[in-house]
Amino acid sequence: MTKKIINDLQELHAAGIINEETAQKIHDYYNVNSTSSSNRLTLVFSILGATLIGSGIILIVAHNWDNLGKSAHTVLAFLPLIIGQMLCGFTLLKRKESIAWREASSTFLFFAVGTCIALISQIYNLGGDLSSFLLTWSLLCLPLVYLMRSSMVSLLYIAYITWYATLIGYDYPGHPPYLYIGLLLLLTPYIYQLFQTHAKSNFFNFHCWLIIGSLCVTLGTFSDGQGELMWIAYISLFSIFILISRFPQFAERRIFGNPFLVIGVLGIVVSFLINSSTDLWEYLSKEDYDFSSLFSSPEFWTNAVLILLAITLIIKNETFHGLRKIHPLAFGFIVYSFAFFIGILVPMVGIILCNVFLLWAAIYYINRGKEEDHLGLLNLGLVIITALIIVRFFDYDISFVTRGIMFILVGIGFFIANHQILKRRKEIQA
Amino acid sequence: MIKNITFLLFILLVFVQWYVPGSMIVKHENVLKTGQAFKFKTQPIDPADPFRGRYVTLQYEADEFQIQNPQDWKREEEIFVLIGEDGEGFAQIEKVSKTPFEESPNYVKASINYVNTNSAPKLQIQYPFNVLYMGEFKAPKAETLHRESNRDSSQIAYGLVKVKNGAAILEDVFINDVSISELVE
Repeated sequence: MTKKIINDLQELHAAGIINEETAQKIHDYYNVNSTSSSNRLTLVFSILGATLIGSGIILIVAHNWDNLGKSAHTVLAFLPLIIGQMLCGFTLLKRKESIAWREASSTFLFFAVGTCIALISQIYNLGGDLSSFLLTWSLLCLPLVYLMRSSMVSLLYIAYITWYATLIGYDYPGHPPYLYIGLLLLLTPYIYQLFQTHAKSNFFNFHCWLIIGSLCVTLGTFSDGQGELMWIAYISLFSIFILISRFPQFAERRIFGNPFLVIGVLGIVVSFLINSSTDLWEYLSKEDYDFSSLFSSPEFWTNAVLILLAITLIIKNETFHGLRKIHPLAFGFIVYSFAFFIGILVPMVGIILCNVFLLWAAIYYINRGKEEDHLGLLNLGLVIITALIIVRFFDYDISFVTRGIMFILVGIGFFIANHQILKRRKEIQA
Repeated sequence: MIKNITFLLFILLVFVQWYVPGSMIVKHENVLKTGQAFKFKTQPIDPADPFRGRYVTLQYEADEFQIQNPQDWKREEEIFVLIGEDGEGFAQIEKVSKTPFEESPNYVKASINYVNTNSAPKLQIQYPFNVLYMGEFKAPKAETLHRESNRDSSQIAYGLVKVKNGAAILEDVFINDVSISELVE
């Protein structure tokens, strides 16, 4: 594609479409981009190569392991660590500006550290649990993120602390992994620096996806006996994601390049769909809630922090775009908080609020899609209504006829709404 | 200047990355050289127990202790177990406490597997030295030998454990005073 464009430049210049200066600028632009794309390829292969070499060495040593004594075992356990540290030292002294060298050497050292500790535990028959091992490994490698400016190690660090948090939180008996918060905060200066300087890079995108995944997985670990309250926490988290997606640095991106928007919208819609059912509210209303110890429970503090953060972001969003332009789904945490505390006493109120909120959001997106000629927003609204109707389809309190009519109406709505927008576009083009 | 500081910090990191596994080895060797040896009789291993990779999982006979008030203890709670010897020279539990023992160094840091709350309440104890690492080809043979020895009452299998101030190192497993590693050669 790039070669074709460059070849066409002469033709365009000869036809007088572009002048020589413009042709030269286009030529230089594509040369730089092809250089940076080949750099990216080198980087990916370097990281893969380092990982494969490390794994291969381990497997060969493992095959001959039984024939060696304890001292030899110990030396071999430290060998990858020494090699990794020498590679990183060399990179810092001689190849500091090369991303490939920085990423490959730090990735190798990351795995070498874990391998060394695991092998020493095995050689010397030392006990210990997986969570302590992961914590030690992560903390020993965190400085590499800053010293080597390694995004790959940063991503591995996020994955490993998430694993650690799930072991502490979900394995019996389980308790909130408060240390996870501190571990994640230790990485925020690096992530912020990446956001400031490389917000459009792939590494930053991977960080966004991984952090979102990590938060979604670990949030549930902060429940300690009153898990039903975590619905509010999750919906608040998804609201926060939607609000972050409206920051100027994210707002101009395409939908799937904006992970906060994708997961935020999906999370809110799915959460409200689940909470729109009668069965769940009947269950929630029958549960025993210990409100006397509410203020000392981790669920309360988790919800409090997330709700405060969401409110702060709404105020921030209002200054960016104005209140009317904020996604209505971002207000989900306010609606659900009311719905929950009233709904556990009067379930029908909870059911109605959740259904009405989704319907309101759907209508908003349909209208805005029509106003802004945005098929994506229009269809999002229609998808929400359809999902709501499908969920109601399995709600046996509504008759077949009623459900059938609802489906037909929404289907007709889909066709009409899309047809209108496409017709308007054709008229504009004509 | 920044390059020098970065490199110096990296050297510091190198020392820390060496210190952690190094201190594990030093602690291990210290307990092996200066710790008190105890023979922990092993129980038969459940044949259905998944055999993970290259290690043999062990259970010990001296892993239960009678208590007065089961409500004072919780599952997964960290405890300290004072070890003594029975009349045959095998390890037995003298006392269990939530804090380290000051009167003797012969105690092990362990955890509560579960609290048995029936008419004779007991603590089921999980020791940290319940795994013996062996080569991938030796371990299945070792596991079979060990299981057979536990079925045969004339054979006595035990783990030799060095204990000191909460730390415990499983040195080896013996069947009739012969190391299991020698038996599977």
